[in-house]
Amino acid sequence: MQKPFLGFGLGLRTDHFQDVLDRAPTVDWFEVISENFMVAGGKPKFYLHAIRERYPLVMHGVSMSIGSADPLNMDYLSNLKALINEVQPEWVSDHLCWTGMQKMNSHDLLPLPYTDDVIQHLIERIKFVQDYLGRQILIENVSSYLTFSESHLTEWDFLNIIAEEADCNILLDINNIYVSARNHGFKAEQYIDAMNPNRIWQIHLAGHSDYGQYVIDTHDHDISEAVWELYQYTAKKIGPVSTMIERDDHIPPLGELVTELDKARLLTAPLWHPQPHLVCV
Amino acid sequence: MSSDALAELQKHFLAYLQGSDQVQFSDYILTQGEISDEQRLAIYRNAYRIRLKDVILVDHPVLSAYIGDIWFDKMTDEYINIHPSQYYSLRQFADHLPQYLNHHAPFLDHPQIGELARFERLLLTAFDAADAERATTEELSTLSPTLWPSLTLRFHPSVQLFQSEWNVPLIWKAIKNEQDPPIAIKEKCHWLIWRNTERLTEFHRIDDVSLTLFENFNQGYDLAYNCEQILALMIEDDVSSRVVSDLLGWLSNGLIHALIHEQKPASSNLLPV
Repeated sequence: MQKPFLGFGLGLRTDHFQDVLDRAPTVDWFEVISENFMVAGGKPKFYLHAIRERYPLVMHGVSMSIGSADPLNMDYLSNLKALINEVQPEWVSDHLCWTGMQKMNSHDLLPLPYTDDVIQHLIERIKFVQDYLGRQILIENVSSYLTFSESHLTEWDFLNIIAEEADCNILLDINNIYVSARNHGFKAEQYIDAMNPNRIWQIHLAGHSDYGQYVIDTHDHDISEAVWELYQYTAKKIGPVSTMIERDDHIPPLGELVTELDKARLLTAPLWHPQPHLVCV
Repeated sequence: MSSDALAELQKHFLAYLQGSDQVQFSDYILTQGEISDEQRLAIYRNAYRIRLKDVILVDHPVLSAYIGDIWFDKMTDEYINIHPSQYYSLRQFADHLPQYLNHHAPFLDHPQIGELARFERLLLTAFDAADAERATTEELSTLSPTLWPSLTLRFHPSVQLFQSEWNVPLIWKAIKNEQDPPIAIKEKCHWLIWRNTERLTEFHRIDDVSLTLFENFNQGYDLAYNCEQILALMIEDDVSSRVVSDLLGWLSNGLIHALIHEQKPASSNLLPV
């Protein structure tokens, strides 16, 4: 199987819809939040289609709740499938977490206990989703602030086993690794070293809020130097991977994000020799 | 960890997020480093409430400005407790807000507040309603006079009728324009809300005649029936020009999706089979 390399992308945000069309920024691709476009029509759908005509898109979901003890929400999956058919994204991702149960949605990416039983639970569900959608999905590591007493595996082992057994790919969030490493006291590089490069199809970069004792994944700041260093370390270790910046709050003008994205290009240029569009893995 | 144990843990986690301390949820987590268990859990509890409050603020910017920070905090805190999200999209989270405001103190003593929330939710509905073609004034002007009596309409999916006992659209407009809102006045009125061809949401006040026409057309009644209905509201000589004027206004503003008319078969001597 060949891993596509899309280049360097941005999260598509409402604030930038018109700018993207007017200025055609030097961005190789955009990532859209799936749920934001599960509406009937109007501006969101207009811009989605207009931008899709000009750029490759990937879809990133926040509500699959793949780790919930509840049955999968088939209404959600049906709408996701319809949106996939409409957008024809390069790929689709969601998070290694749960968001709710018993009809309540927290709209947060809540952590899971890292146990063998939970691994089996996730494998079955990811396989079902992939079968239902008729495509592989990418699963993203989330930032976390607590560890369950029941956990007996590291997050990286948990993630690697699931990706192998469910035959899904990984969206590796470098900022989330940094945040969790600070909050739990592990070495971020150890996490990166343990990952299977073949499964990593996408990288997220983002900013966080540093409270000294702990760090929160807020996506409302520029990317910190520490995260840039970890990204460079990852880029060297795993080779070319489609990379994008997520910004969800205090959203700056589009030009500033494009400049920040250029830093990712510059940092990886010496590491990733000129690549053909497809990288054999 | 069995699936029952996972379900139990998740149920208790959600209860903790919602403010319940019935179960000592910190018993589920590992004590690590210098961050206390309570601090770790509080990050999730705080994030849960902040995220949902932000959704209400984004969906209801004018309502939030109208009631001020203290009432906004009271409203959102209580609403989050009473109506936890049951949706996979945050778009629907505040759907019950008008109902909440109409039934809970101190808001129920100021009915314009609930109306303002309902008005903003209808604006949202118009904003992302389904797309559809728009009929044109030319289609109407070229319609054969013999087809007019049987003419029916399909409104654009974004069109919403807002009926209010208070002057809330005027309050909304003033705050939106960063002006002092007018005093709330009890004033029964009807407004049409829709998304125009530039994908911008508009609203327009309508009188009783236009309301009758809108409601009848929306229920599928034809033009002939509509003319009969508004005879009770105006003098006969004005009926035709008024109906045409409303139709042309709705067409030019993009409120009508389709003009529907049945081509009656030409008379013939053939008997039906």
